[in-house]
Amino acid sequence: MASPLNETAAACIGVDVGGTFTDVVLSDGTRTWRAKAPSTPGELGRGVLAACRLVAERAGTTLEALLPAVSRFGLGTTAVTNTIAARTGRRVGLITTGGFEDLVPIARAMRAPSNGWLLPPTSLIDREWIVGVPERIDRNGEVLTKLDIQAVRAAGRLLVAERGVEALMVSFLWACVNDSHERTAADELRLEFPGLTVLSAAELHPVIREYERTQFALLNAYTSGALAGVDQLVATLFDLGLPHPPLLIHSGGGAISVREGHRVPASLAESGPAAGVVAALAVCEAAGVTEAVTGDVGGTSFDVSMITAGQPHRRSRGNLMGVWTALPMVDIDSVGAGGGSIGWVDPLGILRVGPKSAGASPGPACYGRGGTAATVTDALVVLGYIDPTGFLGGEMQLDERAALGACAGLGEQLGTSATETAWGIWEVAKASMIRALRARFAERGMDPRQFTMISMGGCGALFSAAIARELHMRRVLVPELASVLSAFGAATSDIRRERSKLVGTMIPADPALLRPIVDDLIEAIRGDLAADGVPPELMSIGLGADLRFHRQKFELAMDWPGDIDEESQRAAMRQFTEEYAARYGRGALVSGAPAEIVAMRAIGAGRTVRARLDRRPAEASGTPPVSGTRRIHQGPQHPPVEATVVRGADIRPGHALTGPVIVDAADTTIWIPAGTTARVDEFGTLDLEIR
Amino acid sequence: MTATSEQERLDGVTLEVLRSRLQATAEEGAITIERTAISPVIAESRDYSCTLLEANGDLIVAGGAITHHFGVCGHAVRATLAKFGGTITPGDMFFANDPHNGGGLHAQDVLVQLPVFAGDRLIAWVVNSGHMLDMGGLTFGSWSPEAVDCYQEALRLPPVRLFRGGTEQSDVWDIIRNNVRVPDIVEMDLRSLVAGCDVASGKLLGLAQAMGPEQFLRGLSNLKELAEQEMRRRISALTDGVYRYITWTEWHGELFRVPCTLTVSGDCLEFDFTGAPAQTNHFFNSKPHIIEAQIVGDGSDVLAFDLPLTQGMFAPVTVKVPANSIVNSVPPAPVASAHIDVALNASMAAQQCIMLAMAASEPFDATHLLCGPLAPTAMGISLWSYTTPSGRPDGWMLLDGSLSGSSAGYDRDGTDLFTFMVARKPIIEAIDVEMLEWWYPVLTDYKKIRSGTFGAGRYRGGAGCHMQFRPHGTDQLAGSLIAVREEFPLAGTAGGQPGATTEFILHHSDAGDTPIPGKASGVVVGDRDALEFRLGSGGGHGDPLERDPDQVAREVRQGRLTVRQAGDVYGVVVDEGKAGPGATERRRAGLLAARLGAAVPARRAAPEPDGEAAGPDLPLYPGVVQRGSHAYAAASGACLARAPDPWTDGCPTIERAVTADLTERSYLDPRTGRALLVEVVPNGHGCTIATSPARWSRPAV
Repeated sequence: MASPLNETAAACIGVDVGGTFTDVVLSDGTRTWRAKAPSTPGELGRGVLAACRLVAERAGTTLEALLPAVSRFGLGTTAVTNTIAARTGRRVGLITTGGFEDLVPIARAMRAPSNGWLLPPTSLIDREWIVGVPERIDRNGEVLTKLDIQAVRAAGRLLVAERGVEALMVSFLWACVNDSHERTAADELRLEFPGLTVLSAAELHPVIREYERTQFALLNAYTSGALAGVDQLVATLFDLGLPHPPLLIHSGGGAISVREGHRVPASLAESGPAAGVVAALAVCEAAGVTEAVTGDVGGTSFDVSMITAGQPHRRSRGNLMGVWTALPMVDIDSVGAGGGSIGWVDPLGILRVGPKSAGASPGPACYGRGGTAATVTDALVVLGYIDPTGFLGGEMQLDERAALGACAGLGEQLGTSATETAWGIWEVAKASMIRALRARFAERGMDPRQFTMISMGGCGALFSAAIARELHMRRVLVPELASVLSAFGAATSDIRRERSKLVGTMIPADPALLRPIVDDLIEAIRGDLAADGVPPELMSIGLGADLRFHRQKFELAMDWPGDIDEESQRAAMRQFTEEYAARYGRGALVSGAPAEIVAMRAIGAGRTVRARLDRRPAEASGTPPVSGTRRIHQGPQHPPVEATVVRGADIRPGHALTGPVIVDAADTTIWIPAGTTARVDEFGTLDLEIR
Repeated sequence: MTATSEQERLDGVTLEVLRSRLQATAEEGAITIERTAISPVIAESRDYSCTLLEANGDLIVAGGAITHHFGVCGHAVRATLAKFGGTITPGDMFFANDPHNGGGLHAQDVLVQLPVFAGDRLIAWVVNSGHMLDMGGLTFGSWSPEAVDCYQEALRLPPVRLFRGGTEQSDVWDIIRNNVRVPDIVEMDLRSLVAGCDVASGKLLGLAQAMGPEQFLRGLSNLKELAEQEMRRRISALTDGVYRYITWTEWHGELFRVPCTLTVSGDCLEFDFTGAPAQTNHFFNSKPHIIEAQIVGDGSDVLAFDLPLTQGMFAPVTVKVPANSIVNSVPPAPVASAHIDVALNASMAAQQCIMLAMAASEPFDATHLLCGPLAPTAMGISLWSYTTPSGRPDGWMLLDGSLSGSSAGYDRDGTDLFTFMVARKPIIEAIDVEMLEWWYPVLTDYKKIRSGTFGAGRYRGGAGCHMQFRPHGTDQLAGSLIAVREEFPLAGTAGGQPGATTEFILHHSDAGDTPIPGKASGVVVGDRDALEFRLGSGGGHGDPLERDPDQVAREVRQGRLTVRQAGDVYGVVVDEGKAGPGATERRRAGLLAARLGAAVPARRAAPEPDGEAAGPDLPLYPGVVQRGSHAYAAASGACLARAPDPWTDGCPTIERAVTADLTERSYLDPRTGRALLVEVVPNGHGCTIATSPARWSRPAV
């Protein structure tokens, strides 16, 4: 922390509000500072401001002096995530086509395996809050039964007055083709109930498949109160002198304005994890890696995502904390095994870890905030991986005796010592992380040996080497910003907006039919980018299309080549056929089978001022200075090892390390097991070679 | 038994890695099928599978949802091997679709089989199955209840080559195209199976080469042995003895008895269907390989719910099926529903036998899955065809008809619109109304959860789909209906009531409403008509008079029950949407007393033993325990029977007519009137379940 902030440069701040900690990264273009503060559930702004003050202090200034110089303030938030995960959203009333009131509870007969049973997904909405009204439109958009607007009013009144709903939404069959009924109903309800959130499913996301479309709108209505804390924070930041409105990070890994966040709050559901993946991409680029898997050990969960050919995997629909919905997002899987996950003994007497978490409050026992349950963090303290006096750079003193006590308490139920119990928690947590990764590779039919693991999260790097070894991965990258990578992502992501429109026509299509669709999409995206404050010269807009053979269910999402005339369509068709044959073999092709453009899509990017990874020449060599040793417990089968301890601040690009080594950095701890070597690259990334 | 000995076993990590990669390979083959097929039966509703087998046809592991496919693939491979033996070479790909000759579940579920060679050594097979929209025959969809022999039903091919040494056998493809009504769709779907074979075999070969073929093959044997050991360990947890469950398959009132007797002996299970009637000229005759595949699939869904299905799970299981019967038919028996009516009933009865054994055993890994009868037999699929504007036939299978409700579990309600509540994987997913209407000329009037009191119980059964649709954009639709349960409902468990049967109603614009039998073909829905169906469902668990009154009140508020039904069936007095506690208690006491007043005395009332009841309570049936040599109602302590008599003999009974030929019979606790078992039988038939663990049939004196 030698040189102070360069106050003439454009400063960027990225914040990630997690379940346990709020992380912040500050960059002035040449240097980066970071800080962590406990999250303050229910009062998001307090934790954010505390973290920002801390980072300003570390940069040798004050928050009041810093904010006016900040040209980019990115915010990743779990506000929406928490609302969905804890099922604490608004009570939503749904008005739908009469005769189809049960479609949401039926949930398309989707069932998920759970300990031998097949269970329906938990619904965000009770059947008693769903009312049907007379209206019907067919697949061609033709009105078969006119909307009964009286019935809409009556349904609204019943839901608001008698069922006590706090938000309303309308979703009618085929509104993705003709939204007139839905618009009329929503307008009427907005008049009738001023001040109440009223959403139209087709307006938010006009895709075919009523279930996913309705679920997406339902999620948005459900989380429509979740951003109150963000509004307060924004007001405070303006008062403190922030010149530009903050940007939020959406689930697709791009930035949007707070206003857009209010319009589509559900798009923020995977905000923090998506920002982490954006940052991981920057790390990969710097290290020349194109195939990677990210493993983020947070407070409550272990998040996994994949990067192939330098691109993060994306999806357009999926399961969001048990809710199936349409939503363009970076493809991230979560298992309930994080630093705060609680160890417990199941009825069969077997040790389990998570998914229940101690969260930020009371937190692990060693936080000394009244938590008594033994968590993964407690186990790491007991085993010697975490130095109780050096946690968060010494700013937070951990109570080692409380950690021991909690593990001993759990051990009584198992008949094992505190240390053995702690080791068990570590092993079980690790095993569930490995299982999550393995399933991911299996689903995609990919070979883990070709992949590099990017370690993220404060204690992720304690697990990464062991996980990588188990999966036969040869390389682990621990970025210097590992513990605050999502915050860095919030500071570095471009503005990204996407819109698509159902087309449903065969190739070749009449260009006159496609032209207005494409023009409208581009126009709308231009408007979206402008609304997010992107000047025209910094906009870039690309076209994409979803193609498939007629009647197939799955589309291939492709970049659209050139214009939309017949020549480009033929080119698109060739590209589609090639891609199809490459994936499924020539034997899968039926000559002359008609192909269909399912949807056209416009993707807009707005370049913004953004933070970058610092590059420093690799001037150091040999090994960094040793600050001590620590005894690491390795379970009942093996004697403890005395590991060399190195301080993070002493590590310089060019240094090399050989395990067993513990690296104690300000907010992250890294475990390099015996037999593993590591070197520090120009970006301060620790590059582990696993053998 | 394989020759591999203990010391040749690969280490645990290598096996775990191999297992996860094999699973990934099968899943990838399956995903390829789903992504490249075009008929919604495959792409949306997932009626397909990708199965990996050893060189001899032993099941390694499979991907996709239809567990019942997995088990029949071995039969197909063995038939192909028997026919072509040494002439099989790399690049060959085989096809079969005749259940009587090397095929799978029925003619539409075609099997595409690809031998995998390492060099010139056959090391494995990939077999993919998917439901083809049409395979020719009497009616569109090749699923005609009217066909009286297999020759009328469909184009039937024994094992033949689709590819020979990598070259497409266009004459075979032409034969298929020439015989089916929608050749373009069938060809595309068939090619999706080919694509899935190619993708999976590539991965499989890569895996074998990376490990070395020897290690790979040894790993396969090891995995099979481990699965068998674990299956045997779990079977050993079941109390030795004999367990019986009888059910019936119906054809417009004509009944076919499907009796299953399970003998648990050490670590083996034997299912015996002796007594099943001779094969018939109705389309539901089945085959031994189908019965076995379904029993092991559904049975291991319970016993090995946490492990993937593999050949090792077949080893401890024997299935006995009498020759020339409905469970073991030969040509000319029609077999279009070979895996549905009789087979699903047989498998349901077999799984209920396992449930009976589990209920009579000390708790083990799978006890928490105690559940009522599997409910796929409550479904009512239909197939529809129409003429496109260009004059060509087109059609689809309406899989919303598969969304029957499941039976209740011992600690939970059944789920609505879903047949398998206990299973490793969900089988069929419904499609969105918009997708159905986008693809086909229909308009859906409504689609909802069926209301009513069927499946009542302390935990109630789930409800089936209630839907109505009409032609939209075409003059008429012509269809076949294939409901399994027309009048004979599934039984409840532990005092829960029977479920619902399936009903079809044709609404004519001018001629009023016509009920249509559950199995029918040539059903025409005209321009101004609409077809309504209400699907059946499974039974409840436990006496409805013990259901939580607040739950009952809630279902009244949701419109699922009327106030009157709540009072009559559940004894819950609902006023202004709320259950009245005092009134409910009085109502329930009155109903119990009325039952005892109306009951026929027990067949063989057991005298209370005088102070003899020594020893611990051992489980016998949910709500019934064995103490010493007597059976008691667990809740009241009433003595029911003395060993080895059936415990049901000590119960007063109430009979109620379901139809002119069918009776619902309740077995009551003689002291309280609480229902311990409710079943449905043909008039005059005895009890449908029997629990005879060895300690009951041969009690220690």
